Amino acid sequence: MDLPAMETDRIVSRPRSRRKVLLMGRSGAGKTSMRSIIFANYVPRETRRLGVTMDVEHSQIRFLGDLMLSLWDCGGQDVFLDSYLDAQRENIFSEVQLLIYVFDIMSTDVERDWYYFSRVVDCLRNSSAGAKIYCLFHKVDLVPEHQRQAVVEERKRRLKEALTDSLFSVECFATSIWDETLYKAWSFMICGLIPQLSKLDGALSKFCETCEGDEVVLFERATFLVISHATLHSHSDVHRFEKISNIVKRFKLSCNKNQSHFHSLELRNSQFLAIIENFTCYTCVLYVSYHPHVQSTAVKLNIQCAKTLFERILENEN
Amino acid sequence: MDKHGLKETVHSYTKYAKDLGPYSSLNREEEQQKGSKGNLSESSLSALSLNTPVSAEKCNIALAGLTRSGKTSIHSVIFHKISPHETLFLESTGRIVKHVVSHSPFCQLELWDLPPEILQSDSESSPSLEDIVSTCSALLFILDTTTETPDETLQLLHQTIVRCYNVNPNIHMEVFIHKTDVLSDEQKLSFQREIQEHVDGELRDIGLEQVVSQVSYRLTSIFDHSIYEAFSKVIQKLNPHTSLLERLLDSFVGYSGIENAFLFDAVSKLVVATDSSPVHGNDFELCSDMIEVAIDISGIYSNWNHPNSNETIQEKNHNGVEEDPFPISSGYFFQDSQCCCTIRLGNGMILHMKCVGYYLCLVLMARGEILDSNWGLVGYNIRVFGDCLSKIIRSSR
Amino acid sequence: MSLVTPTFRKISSVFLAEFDNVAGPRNSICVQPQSAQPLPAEVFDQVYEFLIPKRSLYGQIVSVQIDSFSFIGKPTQVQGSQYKRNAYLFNIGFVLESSPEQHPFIIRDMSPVVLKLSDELLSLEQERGLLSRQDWQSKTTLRTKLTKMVNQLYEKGSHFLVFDASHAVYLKVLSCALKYNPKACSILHIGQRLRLDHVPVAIRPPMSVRQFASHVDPCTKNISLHINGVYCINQIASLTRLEREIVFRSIRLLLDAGMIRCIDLFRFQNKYEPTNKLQLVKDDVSFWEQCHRLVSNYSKRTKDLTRQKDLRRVPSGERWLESVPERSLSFGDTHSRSCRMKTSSDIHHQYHPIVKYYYLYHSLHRRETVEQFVESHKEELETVDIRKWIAFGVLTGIIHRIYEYPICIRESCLPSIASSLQRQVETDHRSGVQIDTARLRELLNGRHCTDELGCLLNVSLRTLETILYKYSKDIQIWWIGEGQE
Repeated sequence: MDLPAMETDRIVSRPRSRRKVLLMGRSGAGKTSMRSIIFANYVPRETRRLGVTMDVEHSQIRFLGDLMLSLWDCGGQDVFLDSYLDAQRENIFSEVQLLIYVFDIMSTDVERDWYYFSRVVDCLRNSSAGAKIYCLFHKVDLVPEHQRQAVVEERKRRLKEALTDSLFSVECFATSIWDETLYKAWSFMICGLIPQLSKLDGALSKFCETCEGDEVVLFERATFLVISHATLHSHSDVHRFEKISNIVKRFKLSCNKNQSHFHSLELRNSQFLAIIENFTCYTCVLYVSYHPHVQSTAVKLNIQCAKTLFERILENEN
Repeated sequence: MDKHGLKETVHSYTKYAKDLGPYSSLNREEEQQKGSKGNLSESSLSALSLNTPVSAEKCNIALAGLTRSGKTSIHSVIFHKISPHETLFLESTGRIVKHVVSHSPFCQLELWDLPPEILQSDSESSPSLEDIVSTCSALLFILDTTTETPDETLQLLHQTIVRCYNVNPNIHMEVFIHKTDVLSDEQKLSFQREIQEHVDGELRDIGLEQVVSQVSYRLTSIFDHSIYEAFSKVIQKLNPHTSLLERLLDSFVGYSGIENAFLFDAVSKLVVATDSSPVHGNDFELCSDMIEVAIDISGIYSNWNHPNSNETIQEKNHNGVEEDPFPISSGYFFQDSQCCCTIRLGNGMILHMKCVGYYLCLVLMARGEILDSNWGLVGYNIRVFGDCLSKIIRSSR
Repeated sequence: MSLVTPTFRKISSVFLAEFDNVAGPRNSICVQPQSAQPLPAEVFDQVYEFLIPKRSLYGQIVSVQIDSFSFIGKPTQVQGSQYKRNAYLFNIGFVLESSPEQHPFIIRDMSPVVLKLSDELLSLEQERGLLSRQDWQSKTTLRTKLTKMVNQLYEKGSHFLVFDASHAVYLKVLSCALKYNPKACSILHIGQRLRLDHVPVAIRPPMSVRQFASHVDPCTKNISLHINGVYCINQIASLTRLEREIVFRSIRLLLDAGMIRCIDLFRFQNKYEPTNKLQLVKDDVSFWEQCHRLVSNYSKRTKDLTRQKDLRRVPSGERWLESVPERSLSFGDTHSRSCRMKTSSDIHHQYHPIVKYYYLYHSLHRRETVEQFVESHKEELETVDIRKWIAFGVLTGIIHRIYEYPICIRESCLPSIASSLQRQVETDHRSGVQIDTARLRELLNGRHCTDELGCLLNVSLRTLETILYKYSKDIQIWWIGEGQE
């Protein structure tokens, strides 16, 4: 990304807040695939070429500039899981902020899945009690559409049973790499790590009103995960942000092939005006308005003006 | 049109735009020039319509090839928007299947998906290969590079070419060397050379020297953009207006100071025509991806039950063409003549797309600094282009 | 020398580990020789992460020493879309009884067996999926073959492993019955990067080097005949008519086995500087006595020195090499008394030899060529064979060579450099050589030192240096000491 030199300097000089994120689940659940799609710009089809994860693969991901995600992708073979729960226990489970546990919804060995899950939760409770836990029921695309709801509900019930004696509250998502559900889940999970989220929401609503917009969405620039949004009227499509993430990411890949990168987009038809622009150093903004007289240049000017405010909000508190 | 003149016009426009601000004076000047151009295209139109009977009749294309060579996959990917990895699950086509494609006026096709048995010389199917080919304007032979029986395939290819030529000497023959995504660039070229030499040799041996030039070879794969490029070339060949459209685009590009202009069939994202200036590697792909972005985003926001937008939708529906084969969101996109989309890239290029009606999209690529000082002019030129386009289409109906 | 158990008697098991996509790394086959001590069951638990290691270690010999056992294996990856995760991972290797200090020698002796065995299994897997097929028949075949193999190796130290007509391999555990000695261990320089211009020098008696090499394979044996401390790798390759890669591999093997060391060509233009190690051996009397024994010379040196200096002016690029005295620079076993030199009491000099040699090594400077050094220390060097003296320093690591790494900082000058190089070669040697600008650009990137460039471009060093210095504005030269510890 083309950050102005001054900006990067400032960021490098300051200590960042680190968040340790564990990505766990049994082998073949799809942990590395989703990580590659969200953070390494893989196309779903390309994940077939991925190899197996040996033990733990660490990656450092800078998110929104100041937030450093240290993502531990833990290989899910039984030998590895046993060793995390035993020999490597201290190393793995200490100071965890977030555990993402991935279930393969088509798994045939369900009992073992739950066995490992409850042991992982136990370890986590002992070593980092404050961690959040999310469960992903992955590969839902393989369940026939009409059974999907029932199957996911069933799993959620099992999950509640498994956690009866635990202090953790767990949120679940049904995901698939082939549609936007994956983005939805990851946006939600990662946003939970951003401390200044409520402030951001407020500022965004205000911005939306000022610009006569109907919807304004803030995306993280590198991953295009949704950080915050302000919507004036309810929209029937709840997955629209993730769809847009997907669309823009796909186009970005296409730009990369052309040795260029995506800068901004403006789309107008007889109904609405949509603008996607780079916003602060680490975010992009989507603006949608149905107001027939809104001028795109005016909106762009407003976006420029709001930049400093949002930069201040994003940098605060960290 | 000489290049020198072109450059000067562009230059003077840029200067004007800077000096004068409003475009009113420019427009008039432009109108004069465009007027003459408009006349030109109309005259050439009438000339054309005399000797080519253009009607609503569709072009017939026969798809032939061995079993599992990818015939059904190709048209499913292009015309039915099936994602390439899903084509693995497509069943083999056991009988002759006709697919009717009616998108833009320049993309009216009938695709005959032929089962492999029909190609065998002893096949007794009815209608026979000859029956079908006699009504077709093009034959696509899909040649699978991953086949385990290359000799038989080549044999069949050469037989089919001869048979088709005997029935219909005017037919365009296209060989799609398919599933090339697994090959390296070098391998691709050597494959093509090998096949071409083999077929040419066989044809010369039986004294059909003149057929050699009638067969074109294209390297394709459904997993990248090559299949779109190859198919675009085919429909450009079949479309009698291609050269006219090209000339139109050439003068459009010249007058507007932009780099490239493409006319896309918006539904299939095939290129109906381009200007004649050279196109860089992946520009086609980028433009068609851009159309996709625009369609997708319009699809998301166009059917928002929004207080302001209700009446506009209704209003539009009245104006819309009688039959709309597409779901309301995307169909709406193709009909909305106000729809335009601008994407700026990091390297200073601007992609601009404008729907010009009839399921056609005009996509421009231009340098940012030139386009930004000429938006009014370009907008006007697009309108003129649109008018000319509707004249062509009307005259061909 | 006491009777030492040969390496093959220490084999306590052969194992074949593979990666199971659900269970993780596991031993699929583990066979012990019948008469060996039983292996404690928990031994493998300690090394499970090395059985199938992370990606970076594939295709290399991986060895671990735990408690009283040495593990040696070669993790291998077979890629292919037919496998579930696009790759099949396996590791074939041995467990041997050993103490930590024996470990390097065990590894040296076992490496050829492991390499050959894993190559064989790899090709069996690639051709018919013998390993990845989980059926009973192929597992049994493998198990029987490996059982027989490990028993034979344990009994005789060698085995002819036959899978079928096209898959047969002769395995032999090297066993040189060396006296294990910790000092010799420090001579192992496993990490050294080999270059074409390196000169292999035997650091054990030439006979034992040849014997060792003949155990490895015929190529290495052939190569070992040309190791005389004079020929560089490039020359050995052309003399034996073997491919450079093969020569590199054999030299590497001999190097890792502690049979030879590789040093640079000696030239009076070379520059050296002392390393930290010099301070460590400062007070080691036996070290300096050894030095004295090996490097002192009795004939009238002054005359000889001038003769040598004249020789070095011979214009031909390769000739000066041949002008080195034909006696090989072999140092023999540094601890044996095979040297026929006389003792220090024979010479009369104002310094005690220890002080003298230390002082001399200490005064080497990175800006000064050996030629200049000889000029300024004529008197002290009177009784010293300068070649041997430098070689001794380099081999023991108390001095190191300073290399010149030219980097082209202005590409526009490349064509003119190429043409003037060509001209210079023609005037110097009356022979033509084709120098390509693109090739030059590739080479002048700071990764190749001048010595290597000479070999790669087929130009004599003198010619090369003359030209490079001429273009000092466009070519920057970095001076880097060899990073030996």
